[in-house]
Amino acid sequence: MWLTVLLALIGLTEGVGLLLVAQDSSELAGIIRSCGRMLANAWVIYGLIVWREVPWVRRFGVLLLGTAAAQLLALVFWTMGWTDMVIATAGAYAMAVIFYAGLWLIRILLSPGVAVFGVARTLIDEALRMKVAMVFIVKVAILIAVFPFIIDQDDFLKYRITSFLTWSLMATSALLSLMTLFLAIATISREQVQRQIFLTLTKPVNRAEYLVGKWLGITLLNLLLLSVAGAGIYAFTMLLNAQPARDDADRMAVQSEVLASRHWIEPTPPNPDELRLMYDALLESAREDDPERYGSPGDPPDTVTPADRNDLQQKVMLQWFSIPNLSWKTYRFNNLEEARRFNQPLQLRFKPKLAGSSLNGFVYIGMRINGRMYQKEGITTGEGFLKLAENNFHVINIPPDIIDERGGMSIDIYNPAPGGQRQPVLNFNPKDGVEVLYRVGGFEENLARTLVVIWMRLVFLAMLGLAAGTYLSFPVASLVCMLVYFTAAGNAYLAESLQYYAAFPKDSVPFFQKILWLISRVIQYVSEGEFYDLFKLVIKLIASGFMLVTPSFGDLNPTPLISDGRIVPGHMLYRAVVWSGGVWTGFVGLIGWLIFRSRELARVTV
Amino acid sequence: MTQASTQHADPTKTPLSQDMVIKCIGLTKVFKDFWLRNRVKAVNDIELDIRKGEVFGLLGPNGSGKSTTIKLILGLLHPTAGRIAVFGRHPRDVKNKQRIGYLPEETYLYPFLNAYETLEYYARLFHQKRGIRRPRIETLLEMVGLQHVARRPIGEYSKGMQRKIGLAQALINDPDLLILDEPTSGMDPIATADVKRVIVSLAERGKTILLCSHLLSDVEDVTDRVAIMYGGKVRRYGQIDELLEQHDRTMISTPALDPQTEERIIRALEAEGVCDTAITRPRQRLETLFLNIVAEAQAAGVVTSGAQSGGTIATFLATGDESADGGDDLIDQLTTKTSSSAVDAPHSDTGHAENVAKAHEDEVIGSLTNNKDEPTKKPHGTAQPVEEQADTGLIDSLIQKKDPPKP
Repeated sequence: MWLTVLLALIGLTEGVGLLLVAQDSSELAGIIRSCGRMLANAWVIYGLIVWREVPWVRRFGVLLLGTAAAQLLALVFWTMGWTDMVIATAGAYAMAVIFYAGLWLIRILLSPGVAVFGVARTLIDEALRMKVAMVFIVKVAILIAVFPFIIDQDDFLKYRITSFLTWSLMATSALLSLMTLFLAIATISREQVQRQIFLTLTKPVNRAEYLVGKWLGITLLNLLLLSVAGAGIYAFTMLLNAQPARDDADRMAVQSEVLASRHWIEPTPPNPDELRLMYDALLESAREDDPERYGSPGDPPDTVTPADRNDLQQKVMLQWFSIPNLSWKTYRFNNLEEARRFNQPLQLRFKPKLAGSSLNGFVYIGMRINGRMYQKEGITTGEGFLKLAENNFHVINIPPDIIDERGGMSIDIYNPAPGGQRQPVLNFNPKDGVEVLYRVGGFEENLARTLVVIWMRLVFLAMLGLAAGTYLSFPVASLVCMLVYFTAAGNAYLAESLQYYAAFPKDSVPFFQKILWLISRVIQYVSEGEFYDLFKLVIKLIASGFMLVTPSFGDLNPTPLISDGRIVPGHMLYRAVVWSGGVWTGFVGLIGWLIFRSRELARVTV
Repeated sequence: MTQASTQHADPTKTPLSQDMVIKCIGLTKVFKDFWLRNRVKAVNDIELDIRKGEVFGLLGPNGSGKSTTIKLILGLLHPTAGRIAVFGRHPRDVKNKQRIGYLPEETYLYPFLNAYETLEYYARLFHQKRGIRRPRIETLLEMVGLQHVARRPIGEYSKGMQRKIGLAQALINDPDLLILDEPTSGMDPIATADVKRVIVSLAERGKTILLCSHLLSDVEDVTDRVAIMYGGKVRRYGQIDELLEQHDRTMISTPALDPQTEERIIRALEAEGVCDTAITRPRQRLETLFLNIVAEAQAAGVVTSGAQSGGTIATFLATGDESADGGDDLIDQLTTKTSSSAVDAPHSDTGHAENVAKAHEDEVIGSLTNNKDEPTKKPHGTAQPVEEQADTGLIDSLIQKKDPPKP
């Protein structure tokens, strides 16, 4: 009725107005139209008040009030001359509208009479109406809207966009992770304490469906929130991109190094055996120095423990990325066929560093690309060397036609003695000190991949929280989940720390011998009163066991990649979807279900 | 497994009679503490058979094990010993749940959902399609008198209102077995009477109802059989009329008599050797008085800002006819609400009262002429005393008969 009257009112006044205009009574037509608009507005307000309980009217009313509030706020900022805040308000409003529309879509999706959908839908209502989740959602929206304006406005545009992407994605990921854990734990533990679960599980819903429904609700909510956050991040990135750059190079860097999706190729030695020969030589040297640890000279190479092998390999890589003075080193970049096929320019990105004092903060290098000396105006000295700021990343653009028939490219780097002054050893970081990058896609696709990886992490966390909540109370489950979360996030760092924390037998030692070693070591520590060493050993055992069953999120961190304009690789996407979203989630869910299915939900009440 | 449990046959594996809905054999529940020491024996070796179509009352004081027994039947607790079958299946079998409605002792609803959303949630759990669930929800809200606050969050409801919405959710699937744990706690007498009407109506349709309460008058009005529990054990068990009947007393009920007639009756009885005789005026029940006052006030159009009394029993519950729940039927239902309410309400219907009076008259005649017949089964929700002008001529003629009493 509301809509009918509204449409009739508009139609009638507009119709009369048109008739009056046709009869040259424009003034009267204007008055009639104005009256009609006033009446229509009054009718809209009347409807919003009278039919406010009708769901779609309420939704419309909220949207209308939100729009009015955003406009008012923007007007206030505009009046005060805070243009940035006007933009931030508009962005936050747009995110809110997307969120509202997405929520409506999810409700429609979950409206069929299916038990799992019913549980999922109620979970979403709980998340939004119980305020806990809303706090996190509002925080994400505000942070994304405010970040672009708290970054140093005088910095290079490239770094401003990089900083925004890093911080906004980190904040989104961290806040949604916490929200997911708290929501998952709270929903299931609170229902057991407050006994709503009695009513749900006395309906034709089995416990697996109940868990899946809860998980589905959180997962869909996360999808919605990530979509909103993604839209906000994209919009504000574009907004930053529209701002003036420092210079042409800065603008070009933004387009080619940040708002891009680039493959990167790490160098390999021209001779495939070079690294192995270096390793063998280093191992022999180590065995002569410490035969107890590395074995006797001449022993087979695989008798070294994985940890020691890894240690030696790192040393080899450091050595390979070091160039003594007056020496050349060749780095080969293979698998560049794709760049040649799509005619994409290559970017040689490197960060030179000297092992000793530099000459006025500069480092001098000689460079040949596929045998041709590279020179560039402005940075090439009279001796033909490149003069570069030390410990800074430098990018050299190389046309794709330089790629050879084998689909690769060789770079020779020379450590010279400019003006007769010898430079210390020249180093590059083995991880990203020298590499070649080329564009394979746009920023949008990469952002989507990033969000998928983050979503898959949240998918796992949702199930982890639910599984913990099936048996543990809210505080205990929260502590356990936080422990798992931080262990997963810092898995690589923890593994390295534990390696040096307490002595332990080599990996090659049989399990039974390890047990005997442990017993003897415990007896030794107790008899000698070395209780601190005993404590460290126990801690190491517990931590190692815990890490064994905890997934590693270190391999699922796309934020540094997208911030640096690198493509989120397919293997990371695969690992996120299959392992985090599939295997780990399924495993944790299975454990949760096994506990939950046989659990008595009621307590003693007599 | 305990010895007790191994001694009992598994009722889920042994064939039950067609009309057996719940069967408990040697049911025992012991709650243990953290160290697995026995802490409380909440239910102690009880046997229960609840048949299709009966209203079964589970009575007992607080802490007697009623709610624990219900939770065992619903699969929320596992028995320490003994066996349970619900519709011949394990209590946790999901297929059973499709046929069960449950109202717990407290209303465990989501405070952030409103009444409509709450019923929609539970309807979804029963896999009800939109076309079925929406009319049902509307009808149930109408029935419990909460349609005007259907969009308010449950957290803002009073306890009585929450109980009503709890009852509505228990009925959303038109259950074959309705388990009501203290259904009238927190409800006013009007709502209590509505609940009893629902119970009676469902029982007439052959539904089975397990009613658990310590409000004995409520149970007495509607149940066929009862089990009285104390200390986790069933102390008495059987037909409510049999349990309540005082075999050493006889009560004659007549319309009001004048003192001379009373005197003559006493003398007649004394002549038969009956000495311990008393004639008293029966008291109207307070519930009846209350409901009559409210009905009169409503008939007079007195406005109240408090809870409205419920509407008619939802058609899908009263008749089992799903198609009658929506559209024109609902309108018909609403337009005929007053008359049908009057028919359903036993205390305000003249025709019904006449039938009751006639039955009483027959009882008086039967009692005095044959001393005692088999007690007729009490119709659900009836058997209230009715005051009428005394027919002394009839009494006189009866006294003159002076038939010898049967043993």
